[in-house]
Amino acid sequence: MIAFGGGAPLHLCRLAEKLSINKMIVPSGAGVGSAIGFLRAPISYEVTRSFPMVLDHPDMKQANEMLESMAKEAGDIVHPAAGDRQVQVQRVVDIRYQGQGHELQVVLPDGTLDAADANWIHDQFETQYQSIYGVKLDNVASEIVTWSVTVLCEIDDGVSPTFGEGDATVIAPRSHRALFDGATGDMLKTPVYWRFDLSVGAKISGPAIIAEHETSTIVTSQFAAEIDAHSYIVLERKEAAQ
Amino acid sequence: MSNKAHDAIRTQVMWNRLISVVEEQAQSLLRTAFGAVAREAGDLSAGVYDLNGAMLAQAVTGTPGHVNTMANAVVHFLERFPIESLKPGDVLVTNDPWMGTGHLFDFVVVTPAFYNGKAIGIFASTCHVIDVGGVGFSADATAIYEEGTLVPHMYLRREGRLNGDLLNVILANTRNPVEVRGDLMSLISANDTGVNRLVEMMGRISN
Repeated sequence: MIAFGGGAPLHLCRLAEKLSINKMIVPSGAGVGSAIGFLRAPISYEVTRSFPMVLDHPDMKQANEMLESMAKEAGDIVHPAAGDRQVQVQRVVDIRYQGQGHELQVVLPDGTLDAADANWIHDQFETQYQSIYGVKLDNVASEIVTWSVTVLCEIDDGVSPTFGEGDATVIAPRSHRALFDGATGDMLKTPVYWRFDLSVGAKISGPAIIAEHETSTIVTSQFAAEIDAHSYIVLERKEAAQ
Repeated sequence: MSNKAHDAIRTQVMWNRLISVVEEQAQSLLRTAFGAVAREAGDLSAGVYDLNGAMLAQAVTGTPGHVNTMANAVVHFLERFPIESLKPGDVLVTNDPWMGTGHLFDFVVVTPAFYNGKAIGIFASTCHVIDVGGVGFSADATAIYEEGTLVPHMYLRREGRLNGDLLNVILANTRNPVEVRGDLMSLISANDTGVNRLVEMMGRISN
């Protein structure tokens, strides 16, 4: 899970405890993540079309023609803004067992699709279905319902990811305060660190608060935090086997 | 805060968590259902029970017609299959209208939950399947025998192995075998989802 916004890093650990998530990231500037994202997002346009196709009798010829025309439609919008830059094309389908009403998503391979790809798509779907619902249905065909093509162009805004090196020093916490710990039900004396006092490689064990300008990350007793090479806070559950 | 107040809050939080477990059970059922009755109309229910068959929490998603009848249904299963006789991977089923949830279209599926080898609770879910044979969707039947296939309290799955014979009988007697099979499988996997979430929840609570 990746937390951004003023509120998310406050609730991140407690939420992860309840959702069985073991690893989370609080990026730099998380508190103003939406604003940063808006400025840095790639130029992109998505076209979706409904074209039900049972994978037992795939009509790949029509699918390929349709995907090409969708890519052109999206490309016509993105290319003027992209200029000379490289564009990428992502194709995704919504797919379900024939007879059901809710779909899962499978990313299509690049290039022209053939009948063998139909089997591959079905296998990808079943693997995902089994991991979510715990069963596979024998002898039931899968059906693609919606096809989606996104053309996108990364913007190089001159901001590149920083790969810092640090000496993992941790400057002492600036203060302590009593914080309610949901897992134990106790009020725990919790150190409050200033995020920029922690260098790359620094490790903090929960409970702890890592404060910054636009938000604070509450590290609960079940998690430990480390500052990675991007200066992101990476949280991991202390005992990964649960 | 006094211990009593603390316990009261903790109980409320646990209860809400149980409701969220059965809500996920109900959503699984809704999303994997083949019949439009369950999937679009939400004509289903899901709940978790103690070992005496008393319902502790019910899903928000569902209908009163299902959930209030299902509330009384589990005790009838336990009379025929005492909890001591059930094993992990077992699933029981009936569509008995008097001891289940109202009419032959409504299947009740019951799954015991185990934690560290001990039975800790029971999950039940129901949904309305589209056709069970007989006169079909009509009020013209004059006796239960005309209304379709009645499945008495039975194993639908025994220690993980599906009761293929029972499924064959049900499917041979319905006009929509594909949808009915799909819905029965959804009921099974919905209960399994509930069991898994409950076991995770128990693992997090220190005793």
